[in-house]
Amino acid sequence: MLFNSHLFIFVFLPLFYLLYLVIRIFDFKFKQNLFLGLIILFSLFFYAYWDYNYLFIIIASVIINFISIRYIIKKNIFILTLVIFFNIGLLFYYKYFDVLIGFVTNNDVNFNQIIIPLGISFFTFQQIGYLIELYYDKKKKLNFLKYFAFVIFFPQLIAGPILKSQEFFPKFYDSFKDKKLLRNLLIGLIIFFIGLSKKVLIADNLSVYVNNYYNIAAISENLNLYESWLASIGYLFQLYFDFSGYSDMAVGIAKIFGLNLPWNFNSPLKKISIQHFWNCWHITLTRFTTSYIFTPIIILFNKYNLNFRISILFAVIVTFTLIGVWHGAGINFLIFGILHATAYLVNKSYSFIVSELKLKFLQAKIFNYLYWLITFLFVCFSFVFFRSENLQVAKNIAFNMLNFKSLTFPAFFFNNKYILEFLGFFNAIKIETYIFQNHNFISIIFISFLIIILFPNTKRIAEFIDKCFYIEKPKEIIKILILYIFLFFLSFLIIASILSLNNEVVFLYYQF
Amino acid sequence: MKFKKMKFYGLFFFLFGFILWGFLSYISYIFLKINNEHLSINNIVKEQIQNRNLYSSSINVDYKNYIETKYEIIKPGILIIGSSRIQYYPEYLFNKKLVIAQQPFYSFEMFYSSLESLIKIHKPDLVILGLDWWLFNENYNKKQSKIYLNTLFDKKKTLEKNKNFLQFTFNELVKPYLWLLERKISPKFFWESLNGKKLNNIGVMANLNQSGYNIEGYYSDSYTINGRKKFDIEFKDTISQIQNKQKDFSEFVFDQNSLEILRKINNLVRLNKIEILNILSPISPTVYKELRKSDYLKNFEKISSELKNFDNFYDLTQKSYFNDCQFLDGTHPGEVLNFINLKEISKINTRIEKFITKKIHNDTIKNNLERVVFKDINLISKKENDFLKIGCKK
Repeated sequence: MLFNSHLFIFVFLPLFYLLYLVIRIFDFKFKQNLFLGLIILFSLFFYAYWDYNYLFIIIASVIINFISIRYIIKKNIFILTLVIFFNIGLLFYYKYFDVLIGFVTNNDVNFNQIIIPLGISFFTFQQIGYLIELYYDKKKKLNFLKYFAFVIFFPQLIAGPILKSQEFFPKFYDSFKDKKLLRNLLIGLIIFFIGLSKKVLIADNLSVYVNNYYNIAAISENLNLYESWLASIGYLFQLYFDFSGYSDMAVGIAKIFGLNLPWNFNSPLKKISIQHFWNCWHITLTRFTTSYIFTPIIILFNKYNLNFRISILFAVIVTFTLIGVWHGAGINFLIFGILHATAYLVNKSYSFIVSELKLKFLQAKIFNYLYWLITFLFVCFSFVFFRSENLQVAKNIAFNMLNFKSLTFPAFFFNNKYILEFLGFFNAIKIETYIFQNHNFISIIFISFLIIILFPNTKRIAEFIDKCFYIEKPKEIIKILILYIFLFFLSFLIIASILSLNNEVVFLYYQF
Repeated sequence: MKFKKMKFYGLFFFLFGFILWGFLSYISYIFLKINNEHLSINNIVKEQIQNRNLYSSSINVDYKNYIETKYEIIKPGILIIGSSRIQYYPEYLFNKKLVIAQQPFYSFEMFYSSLESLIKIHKPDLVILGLDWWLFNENYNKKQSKIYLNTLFDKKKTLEKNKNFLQFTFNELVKPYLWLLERKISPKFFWESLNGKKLNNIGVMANLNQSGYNIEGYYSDSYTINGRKKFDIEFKDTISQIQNKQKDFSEFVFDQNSLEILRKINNLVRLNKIEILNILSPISPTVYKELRKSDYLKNFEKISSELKNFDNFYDLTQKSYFNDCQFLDGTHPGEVLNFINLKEISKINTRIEKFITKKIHNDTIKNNLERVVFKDINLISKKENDFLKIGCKK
């Protein structure tokens, strides 16, 4: 089921909330367990609504992982390793097996012959993370009902955020006693509708144009410098608003029930370095890879007294490569990972040199604009490899992004023969008549850019609204005015988003 | 301000916004509904068959299904396929039922796939293929055609039933306000529509301009012929495009692939034992002169020479009997010239003769030589004036 559907918003969620209220009102012994059961039931329906054939995979995965718990708490490293291999194997089978067969049999690689079960990466990662934590801290042991509910909790089941068990329990019980029911409901709904409007008003509108450009790149090399950049910026914004919109909706739904899920995005496109970018983009994935890939490698190197810098180098390359490859089996995803690893290392080295050589002037605020621009342009460029269906498409766009020979200007701009003569010495200049034809696309990109740069992110808006509940004797008139303007604007977002639900478009991260 | 008051005002702003936006959305829906923008494709076709009204929409652009639906009902003897340059062939020029499959066809690939699906529904006796020079331009085919193709065919099939308020999307409901801002529609028209002014046509643009597609696909263009459109006066816009190598006159590289697909189209038609005319559509004499001056004419000549081996190919780019007054703009010939051309073709190709009406006599043609639409025959003929401002006697 999609969050951005009438069924979810007008039937599924209200019904679930109503049952939650009923369970809360009555005071009986097993009410928390009953709610856990309700979560499982609704989550299974939520999952099965997409394709019930894959229901058994998620149930089997949960059962097998749960069985291993009893051995893992006894520090049985063999079982832990085995069950991690099982999880990775499952992921590997669905995501990479057909590609591998293609390579082995030397046939054309035929992607997506095996349909990937929805959310497999996310519920697999969440379980791996939990089992490793349990190995080190057996107090985190959960019974079957709790474990099942933790893995399958529908707001985060399909595309995260990837939870740690302590983010679900005991907060789950606290939320049950939380008396701020109305506040949670209001803040949760506000977060949900901000996320929904990001998805349906911005990302879905961008997708039409982005898909067109990428389709053109798939059949020809005919995009020029300007169009290639437009396509890549458009896609980056589409992905950001789509995925952060989904994550906001997940956080918002959980908040309605008093649960605070971790935020997955924290204005990553405002960041001034690639290091900061990854701390704020898909935060729970970064946290997962840092905890279970990056840090163990460093510890391993340390154990054998190997060079620390080499350990960092190795850990960064491995971590980012795996992040890239996790997103897809194509070589373009591998390049995406390697590009980010390289950028991360360059970023680290630069910071090191600046601090070692005490080049303080390079840390001046004015340079932050330059650092931001470099980071932003790099991220745009790298995500071309992420979006492209194969390497050829990525090459077509990436090459033209750097190909200043395809620099073109709109004909109306250079409509003067003297300007043309003056510029004649510059061979690269071409006059393109179709340029700037997609006014709508440029407008949406421009509005998206303003939202990214000027507006606070959903996390900050939620914190602001939350604080407003505590205002006893408000003196800060400006804050109150901002709140009123926001509420006025929010009503527009709600109506516009609901009216946009007729055009159901799946979330980009459903494919991972 | 006390907290209670603050909460009250907060709630007020939210509810006020909610009511305001909801009201504006509903007003927009009413406006669109009055203009028949809520009709499903099936009902658009039914309405047009019953009431002979015009259809021109910026909301409901499911042209593929629109054409297929009416084609299936009409089962025409003549099918015309092409761009907007073939949309001025009214049914009364022919002896048989007509459907013009105009609009979504922006490349030969699309011509082929549409023709294939239409022939499966019903075999016409004659197919007229309107050829445009840009369809042979590699630069156009590589980029523009794909953009149009994806934009038009990405859309889901429109509903079988008419749309209600909740079935309109935000993007659709916001359009009337954008049109008001862009001055595409006047506040007066908006207000009169809401006040229940009787609007018979289908689509805001059809009602506003009294222009749109007839059921056979002929475009009743009173908006242009009575001078309200104000486009291409003295052919200045087209000439400027040629001089600046803009839009359809952009840098030309002959696309060999187009030729192959055109060959495929001709084979498909011939295999189905259907007559075919491949027509390179006319261009006004003034624009033709400009093409010659700017050396762009060589591209037309290249196309013509590549197509000369095709059966039933007629290069009508320029003929001695053309005059500027027969055009809606530099590149769109009107029905009078189209009829003259058909008569000329039938002199060479006698098999075509049986498809052309005998009700329009030579005297009528003589009386309409400087017109776009036939006087007294076409219902909008009284609206025609010297809209190009080149001194035409109308």
